[in-house]
Amino acid sequence: MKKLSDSPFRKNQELFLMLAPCLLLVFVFLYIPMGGLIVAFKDFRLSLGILDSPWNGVDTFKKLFSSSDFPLALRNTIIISGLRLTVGFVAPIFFAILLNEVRLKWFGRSVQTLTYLPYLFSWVVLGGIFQMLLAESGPINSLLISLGGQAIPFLTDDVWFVITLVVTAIWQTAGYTAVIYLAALAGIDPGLYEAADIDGAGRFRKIIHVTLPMLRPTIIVLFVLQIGYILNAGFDQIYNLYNPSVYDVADVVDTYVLRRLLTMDFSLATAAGLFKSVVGFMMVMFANKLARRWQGGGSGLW
Amino acid sequence: MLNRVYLITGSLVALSAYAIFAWLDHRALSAADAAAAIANPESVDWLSIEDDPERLIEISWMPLPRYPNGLEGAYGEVVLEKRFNVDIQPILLDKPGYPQRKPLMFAAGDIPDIVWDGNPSDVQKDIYHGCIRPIPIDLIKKYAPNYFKLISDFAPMGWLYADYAGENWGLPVIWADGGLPTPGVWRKDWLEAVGIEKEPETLAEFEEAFRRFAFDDPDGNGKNDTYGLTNTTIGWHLMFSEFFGAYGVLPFDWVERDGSIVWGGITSEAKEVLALLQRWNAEGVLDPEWITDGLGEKRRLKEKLMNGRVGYAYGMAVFNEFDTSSPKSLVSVLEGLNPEAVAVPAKLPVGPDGQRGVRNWGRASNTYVAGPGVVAEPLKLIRTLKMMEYQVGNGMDVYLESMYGKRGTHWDYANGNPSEGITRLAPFVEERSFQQKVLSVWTTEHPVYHEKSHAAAESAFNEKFRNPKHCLFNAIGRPEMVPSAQLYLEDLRAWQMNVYTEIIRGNFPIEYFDEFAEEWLLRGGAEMTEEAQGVMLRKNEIFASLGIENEEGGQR
Repeated sequence: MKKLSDSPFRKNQELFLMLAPCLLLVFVFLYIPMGGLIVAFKDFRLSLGILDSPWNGVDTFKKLFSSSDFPLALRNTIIISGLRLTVGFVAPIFFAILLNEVRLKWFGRSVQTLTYLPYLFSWVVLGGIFQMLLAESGPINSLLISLGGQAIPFLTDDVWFVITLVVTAIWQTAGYTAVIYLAALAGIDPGLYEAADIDGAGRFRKIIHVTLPMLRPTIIVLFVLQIGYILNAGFDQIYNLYNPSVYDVADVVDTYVLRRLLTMDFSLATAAGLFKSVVGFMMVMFANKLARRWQGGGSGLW
Repeated sequence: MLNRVYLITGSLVALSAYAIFAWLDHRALSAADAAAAIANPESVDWLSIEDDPERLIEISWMPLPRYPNGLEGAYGEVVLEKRFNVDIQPILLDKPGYPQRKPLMFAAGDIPDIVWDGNPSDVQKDIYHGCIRPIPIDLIKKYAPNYFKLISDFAPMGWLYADYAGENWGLPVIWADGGLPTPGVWRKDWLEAVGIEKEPETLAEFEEAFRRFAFDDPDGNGKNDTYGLTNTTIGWHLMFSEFFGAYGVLPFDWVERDGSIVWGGITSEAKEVLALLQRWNAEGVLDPEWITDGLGEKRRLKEKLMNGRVGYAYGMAVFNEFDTSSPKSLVSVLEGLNPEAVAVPAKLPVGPDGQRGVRNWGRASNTYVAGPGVVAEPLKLIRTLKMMEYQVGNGMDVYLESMYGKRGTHWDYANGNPSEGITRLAPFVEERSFQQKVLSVWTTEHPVYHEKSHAAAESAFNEKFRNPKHCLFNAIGRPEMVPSAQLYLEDLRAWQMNVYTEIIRGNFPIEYFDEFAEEWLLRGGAEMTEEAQGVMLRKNEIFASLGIENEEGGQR
């Protein structure tokens, strides 16, 4: 039998001691409040409090799922999220690689800063700007008409609205995400490019055979993290851009919950939040497993 | 070794999880106990309580949220404190903060003695959560007879808004302008430019004017860049209301048909209006931007009228917009932009059957409710009632003092002449300092005094353009008055909004309306409609018990 002093706990006791306050903080501020999740299974009344309110089993979830609008909202969420996750995921990679290929350093840096900028604006402001830009008599449509085209109902047509959502979301976040990829690109060993040069690879070949494979771990980590947000279709953005003529494609889980909760329905809000978290968690686990298998047990988030 | 650690930790975790759950389960009340605890709070024998004027009573009071945050010790508050020997602790939230702060305060058990609730549904939620206590009608009659009479005379629907399980749970307040309809506005110079002499009155004449605005180049710039009208999708209560009114229907409200209550949105009249609007949209009479207009704010609509894109805008005929002495009014701004442009209040269009009207909220607006503190100290509620009585039951001067502060310090009649209306004096002209220093925990508006305090010009304007008879009211006050509205109303409303918009834009054929009407009933509408009959009966019961005559439309 091994001696007790060999146990990892004993061996590293100072380190564990230093870790203890952090664990305590996490426990107190992140795990204890999770106890509040029981509200989702209760008929919560403010005056009775969380503990004394009567249980109601899964009634709240029934209420959430039985409504005629929820399946529709779920579908819309998955469509919009799916588009953001696919198209929106590729865009910053593409952009970062392009930026990396720019030989004029000052130009690359300025473009990087400028594309990063939209990330800092709130959708309340951006919503107003896009309402104006994309209006039927707005500057973009005026330009289209003067070029001999037709006005496009960007904000009122179902299909165009989803396109507008995805494109503006990419416009807002691509610059920010690209920074992460640029950092990864900076870490690629120049020796690999030199070796490729010697083998006679052109720029394009180098991107395919050196840059992308080297980016793969970063791409996977970001993808696994992103997929946890599958049920968040971007509430701020949609809420500030949508209107009744596109409710049928733009009503997502978050706007649905907002509508249902106008006043103090805590159980429903908790149930919806719990549902989103559980789905997100399952997606992350699944994606992680997939990544590990695909990589032969190599990478993945953990 | 490690396995043993896992085993021990595992069983400990399982055991404690079980213990925690068992404790939680033990703590929780049964559903029946919880319902009983909420429906039968500690009771007070209200009528046997005698007030002792010598005792200083503290009252925490959360009034109407306002911008920006108010301050304690405003003039109006101090007057009441001195007179009634109370210490009012105002909890003054700002408007955006209110919906977030109120539930948090309530959840922490910090419920003020007197709380402002915006909608009947807020009152119902407060009752559901067990946060408020009933206020017996007899108590109100005893301590605030004039207030009681005022509400019963001018806004009896307020008593229905405060009703739950046969008891009264609130003190309704009046919004005096709530009984006045708001018509639209014409560009008069455009009417003249397209050769219309007589101001449009019937729906057909409206349509003719819209069509000429769209096609006869009313601004004379040689371009096809004008439309007849625009509208909004932001407020269900505003959407094309005067045109639905011309057919005597409110599309997002309960209306009375042959003695029973039906949802206006599925009636055949609503379908007729939609067909009309669909035609306007197809012909290019309706500005295609109407869907997104008003999503920002009403300012956008005003701009469109002023920039000469449309010649008619809804809901703008209020005196503020036609006050030539105010630089911000529609007429003043229009004059500055384009001296030839003239805006005039429109009439409400008369439909094919001679009906006209526009949706109106009615005078019954918000409700004050009482927290558990008033049961622990009944004098809190009794003094509150006395204060409410004082503000509305002692003539115009006391009323004006409670609304505007001290004459000569905070306000005065313009040019010392009561017929020119009230102006605030510097520095209280500014809303911020007025609300911080003067206005405090005022209670309700008094329609008669309110009207009297207007400038003669405003009274004349209202007299001429805003005929109270043209108000259309929800038959039971608000759409959310039926209990199952909690489950269905918001979803159905969003869906109806979508269907209406798509029909008007021509994306759905008008025949789809029948399918919509049928499905609306299946998706919970039938249940709501059935409950609405009960609410109507309850309304009649309350009105009868209060000796209120049930007038046409159910409210004034």
